[in-house]
Amino acid sequence: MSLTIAVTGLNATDNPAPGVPVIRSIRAGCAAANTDCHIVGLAYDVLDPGNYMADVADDVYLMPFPSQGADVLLTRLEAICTQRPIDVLIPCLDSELSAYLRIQDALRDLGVHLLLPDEAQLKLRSKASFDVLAERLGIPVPKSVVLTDPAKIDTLRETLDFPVMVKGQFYDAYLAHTPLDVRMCFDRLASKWGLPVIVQQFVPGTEFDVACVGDGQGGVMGQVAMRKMQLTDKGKAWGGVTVCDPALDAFVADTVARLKWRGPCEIEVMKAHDDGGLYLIEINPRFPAWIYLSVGAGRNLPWLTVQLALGHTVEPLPPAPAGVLFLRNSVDQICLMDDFQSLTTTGELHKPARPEVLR
Amino acid sequence: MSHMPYVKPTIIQHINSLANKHGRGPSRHSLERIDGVSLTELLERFGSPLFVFSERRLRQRVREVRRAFDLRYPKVQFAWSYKTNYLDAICMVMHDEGAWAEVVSEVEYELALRNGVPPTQILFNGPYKPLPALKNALADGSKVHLDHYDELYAAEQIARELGRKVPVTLRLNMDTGVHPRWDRFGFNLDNGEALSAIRRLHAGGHLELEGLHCHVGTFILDPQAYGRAAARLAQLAIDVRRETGVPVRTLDLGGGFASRATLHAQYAPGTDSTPPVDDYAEAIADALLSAGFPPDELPTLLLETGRSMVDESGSLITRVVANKRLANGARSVVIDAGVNVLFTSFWYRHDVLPVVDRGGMLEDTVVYGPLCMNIDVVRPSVLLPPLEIGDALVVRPVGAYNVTQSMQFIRLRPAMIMIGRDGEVDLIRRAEELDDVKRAEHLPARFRKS
Amino acid sequence: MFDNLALSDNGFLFDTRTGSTYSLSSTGTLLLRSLIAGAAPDGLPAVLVDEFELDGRTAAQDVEQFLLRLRDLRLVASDTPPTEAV
Repeated sequence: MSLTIAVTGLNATDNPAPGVPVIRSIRAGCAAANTDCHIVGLAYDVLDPGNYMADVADDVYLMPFPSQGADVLLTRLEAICTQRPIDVLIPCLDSELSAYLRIQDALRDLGVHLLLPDEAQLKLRSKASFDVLAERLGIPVPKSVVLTDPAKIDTLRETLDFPVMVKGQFYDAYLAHTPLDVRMCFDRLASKWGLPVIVQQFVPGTEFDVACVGDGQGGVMGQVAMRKMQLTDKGKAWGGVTVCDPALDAFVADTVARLKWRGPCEIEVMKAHDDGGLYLIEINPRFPAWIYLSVGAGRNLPWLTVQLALGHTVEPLPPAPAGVLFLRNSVDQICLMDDFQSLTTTGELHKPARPEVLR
Repeated sequence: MSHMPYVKPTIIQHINSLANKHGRGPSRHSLERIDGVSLTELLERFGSPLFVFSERRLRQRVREVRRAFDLRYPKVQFAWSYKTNYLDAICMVMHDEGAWAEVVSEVEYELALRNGVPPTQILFNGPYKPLPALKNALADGSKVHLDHYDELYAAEQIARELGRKVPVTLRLNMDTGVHPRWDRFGFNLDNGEALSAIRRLHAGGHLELEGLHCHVGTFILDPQAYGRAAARLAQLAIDVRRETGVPVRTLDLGGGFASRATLHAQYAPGTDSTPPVDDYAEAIADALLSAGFPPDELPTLLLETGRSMVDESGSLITRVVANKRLANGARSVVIDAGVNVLFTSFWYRHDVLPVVDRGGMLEDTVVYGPLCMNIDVVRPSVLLPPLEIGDALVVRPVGAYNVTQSMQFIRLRPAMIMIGRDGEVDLIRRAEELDDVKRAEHLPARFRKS
Repeated sequence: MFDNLALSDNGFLFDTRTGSTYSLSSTGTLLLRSLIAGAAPDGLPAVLVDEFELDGRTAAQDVEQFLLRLRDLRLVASDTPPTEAV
């Protein structure tokens, strides 16, 4: 059996996209299952390092930015599929998801399978909808206030105790100790990510990040919980270790069940120092960049996603064992000017066939 | 002799790995025809620039919007927002499709009457209604939306003079989670001003509260904002009914639905990010139907949708008048239509695409208008193929606000045509001449020569 | 004088001295290729006229603009006189 799997986001810088680790996981899954696989990398930039890495993508195609719209994206994918029919596609970036949701029916007609949440689930996990999660679905989240008007900053104390986390609607978060701090963060976040800005009760505690895959019926098909050990200056994990806490696993299972989440996601949970209570901090609607840890922990979630997308019957995986460690490294790789030229002039890069021994 | 077609010699430097923006392939678009009519031929016949309206597209959209609401709520009436576009031909299409008129000045009121709209089907909005106009509108039974206390007092005085009780609508504003908040129009609901005004209105005994109106804002991308506004208007209507015994007969949710234009600050194009009109209809109908009105007292839903109806039916066809390199090496073109007729360029990232794409490399381009004014920028950045002087470009969607806000600044306003349902082409406004602008002026005798 | 320019047939240009890279249209590639091969700037409009069905005036104007671009990008010396449009 041979599969062609496309993965987006090959940016592997110090704030990496999950594309490269997802591909490495799928390669590991294929090898274990004795399946022949061909990987198509869908990149947004000629200089995405993943384009040039050995044993990552067999073919690389430059994609139009999501800002160009779903129609343009579909046209590009149709063209790619005429060259190389794709069986499964895993989008790895937040900004792509709504475009892929729009074209998933058309892609299914082309034979491309995706495993995505639906639009309603995607909206619910947006930070501005967190109060809905709490009210309607009963998921514990830190108390939060959605700000569209800076004049309301002065009344925050009526609802929240300081300090608070001030978050942009898509990215970025700052700790604020006073309304004046909030005001400064508000302007910065509003100009960068637009309105609203979300102010969340700060919960002192330990953060855990859980990668998981939902079946869309409320079930968790696999999960890997991690605690960050080393951080970049942007607060991203550069090293971490798997943990096993039945309370955390149950919390994640319950969250996924209430959302009926379908597909991959990363759930960020805060365990409060004072009473050990668990709070949902954020849901990212795609795999995290540290997802290769799931292979190390024997719970290959990207491979699981491929199988679910194809409609295969799969048994849910038990939670991952504790104590599997990852440390990221950075490597200067030597690239071929010819490869760079090929991507620049044709938007495509086709690697020579991989030698049999590597498969 | 080569068999390759000639393309311009072009060289583009790869800067900061942004090469993909200059990539080839899927993002090339051109538009040779609208409703089957050749744009090149239209320019030859009517001159450049030229506004082109598609009657087919306009009617389709009006019906689509109306159907979305009719499916979900039993009593809906649309009123055409005149200020969005008051070309007679456009207004007549809207009225032919069953829309009333929504006007915001005595001038627009007059326009609606001239178009044959009965006074009872005119909604009269806005913060300034000159006294004679207010009198006429109230006497003739138009739906007058009061904006502030002084207008309420004036309306009471008029009712006294008329010697009868006069129905009016109150315009309200409230926090619906939308930013910026439009609190300059109408009475505020959050701080209790609206309720006081209603009580005052009833106590006065000269006016009768016929309706409540709230216009959330403009280009609102969150349909739930309308849901929240509708829910609060409905609750207020029910409270008023309980307190006064008189049911509120109309709830007006205004307009402001986003069209499929794209704001400069928006990430995804409007064609992807603008919610379907069904979402707006769903949010409003849900809120009204679940508010708890007795079935026989369900208020009529009024809507003043403008942009969302007309924007996509309008395009501007323009010609390239110059190619130019800027000091930093960036490419620019100058076209013959500027911001004096494309006011919306300040807010929207309009599609700018060639009528004919003759190939060649796409390059990031600044599109400047012809005005001798630094602000005359139609698109700060758009990928375009090499263009020759005289090549035609399409700018779209521009059906909303551009005609009404256009001005004779530096250049006169261009011709406007409508393509009918069967492809017939009609001039609906000729290109302006100098006399059109100067007719209203008067030169004192002492300045006249001989 | 162009020994620093590595130009591929598909229009990819690498400047070995600066490390900058560029894309050229097919016609741009043809013109730069001619320059590298030693053609005089004055002769370039004729190259276009020979190769395509093109009038001399358009060819001269397009070549002039192309050479100005090369000069802006510092790919040709700034004292190279542009051809005069006829």
